[in-house]
Amino acid sequence: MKINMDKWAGDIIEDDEVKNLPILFFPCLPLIDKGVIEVVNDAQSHFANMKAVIAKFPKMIGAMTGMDLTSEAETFGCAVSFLDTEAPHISDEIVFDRATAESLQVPSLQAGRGPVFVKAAELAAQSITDRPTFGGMLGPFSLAAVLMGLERTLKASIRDKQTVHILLEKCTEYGQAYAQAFKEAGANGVLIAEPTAGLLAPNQCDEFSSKYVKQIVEAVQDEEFFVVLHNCGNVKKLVNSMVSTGAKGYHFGNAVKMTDIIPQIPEDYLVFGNIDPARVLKEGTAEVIKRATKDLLAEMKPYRHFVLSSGCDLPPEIPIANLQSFFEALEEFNNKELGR
Amino acid sequence: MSQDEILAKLKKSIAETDTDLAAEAAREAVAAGMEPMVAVNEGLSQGMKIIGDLFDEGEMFVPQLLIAAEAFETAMGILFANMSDEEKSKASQGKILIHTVQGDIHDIGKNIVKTMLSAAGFEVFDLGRDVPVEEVVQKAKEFKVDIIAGSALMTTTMPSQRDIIAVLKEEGIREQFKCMFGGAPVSLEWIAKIGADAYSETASGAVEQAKALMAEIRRG
Repeated sequence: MKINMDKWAGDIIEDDEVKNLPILFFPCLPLIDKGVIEVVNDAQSHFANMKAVIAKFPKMIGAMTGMDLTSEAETFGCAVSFLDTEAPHISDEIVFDRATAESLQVPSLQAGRGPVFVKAAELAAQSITDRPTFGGMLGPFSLAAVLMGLERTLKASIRDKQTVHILLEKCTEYGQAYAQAFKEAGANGVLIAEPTAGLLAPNQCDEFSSKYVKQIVEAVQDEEFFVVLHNCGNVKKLVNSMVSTGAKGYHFGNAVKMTDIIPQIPEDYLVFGNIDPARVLKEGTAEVIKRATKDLLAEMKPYRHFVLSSGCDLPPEIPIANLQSFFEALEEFNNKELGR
Repeated sequence: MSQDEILAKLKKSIAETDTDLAAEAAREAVAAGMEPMVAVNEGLSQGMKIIGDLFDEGEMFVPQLLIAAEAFETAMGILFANMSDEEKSKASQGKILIHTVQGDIHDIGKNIVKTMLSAAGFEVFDLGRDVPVEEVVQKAKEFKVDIIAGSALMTTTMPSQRDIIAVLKEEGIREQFKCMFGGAPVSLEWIAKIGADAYSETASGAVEQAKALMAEIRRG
């Protein structure tokens, strides 16, 4: 269902009540009694979990596909390891030098598991009509680093820039087509996960990430399709570079203090973050979760364009009870602030 | 070239992340008969300190740090080529086994810590990534290390750190090793929970923790 996403964002900014949109998918699998392997390979199962997330946590302001972050690399030709209790992970590299970067083929969008996520987003967009549906995808530099190996890519970003650019052009070509597919399927936006760019110097982030993310943003973002750029690294000095992409939303992890980040972002863009998925949401007690959440909300009070979220994708083993505490903390904060 | 000039060149090669210069300076140090640990402590490590400080201050980033680490390892390989294992151990600040835990393939952080530890004079045995718990314990015994260090980047692989402690206890050798863990999801609370000895959020902090553990070991 098409939604005016500029209005959606504007309404969030205008609303005195703080909203919540954690990157939440895998922890809710017990609700539908399915494992990771099935939901990352089957669109109907994937959609069923997206629905279950919304049903369990109706205060989520959007429906989201799961953050798999391996399907793009797998489609290019990397091997993937699947376990039923954790997100898949890539186990090898396929680009080693200029020659292998040049010979790498950009795969068809119909290949691999990309169609699973696009179809799931399509189903969600058709049946979950009271809030936007977001697809998820890996950003171009992060994908390049998976294909070429992280250390090799980072060193090449200094020693052999041309090879990195050759690879990035191919990753961006695929990424742009993937984002477009989500849009054509009816999704209202896409979360581009670009964590590896958080390891770069600001000028490198401009050159090797933001320049390419911007191409994707300019190709797909409009009034009805919203791009959220995610980077959970230490990006305090990279915010300007991120904003140069033109994305209308920015999502941050717990490696940064939101008070250092949000003043750098225009007030008409949404800013999401950043409760620690591991130390707080997984390991924390209800009291720890509520205190961390309320402390963040108190710090963010001056910033109307702030949306509460997790610092990153939430892994499967996070207890649902902990997520309930997370949502309750927001509810309690809003009730207190609004005198309810 | 005087010793001071060679040391300055070694320092500069790391500070400027110049692998070729590091190799050249290391060869000059060997040709001049310089003690390897002098070349490391007063040359290479001084350059790595500059890099580490800039990294901690957010003025240098991981790609540059990796190139500096490569320059450092290149020079180390030349300086220590003719040293026996016994001589290396005797000269070191301590022996550390480092790895990325079983099931985890993320090793950038581990590699940076490895270089920082080497720069600080530790003898580091790097087992690589996705290392089975049993292999960690077996190699720790084989190399007679002082410290077992392990990195986990995922919440699902953190339990391997707990498992290492468990295996050491089962074999009755827990007291033979200090255990230091790190990685994004790791925390002081986790370290306390699993009965490990130290944790650091940063690479430079890991070096300080390793030095503190060695001081504990020497105090007995």
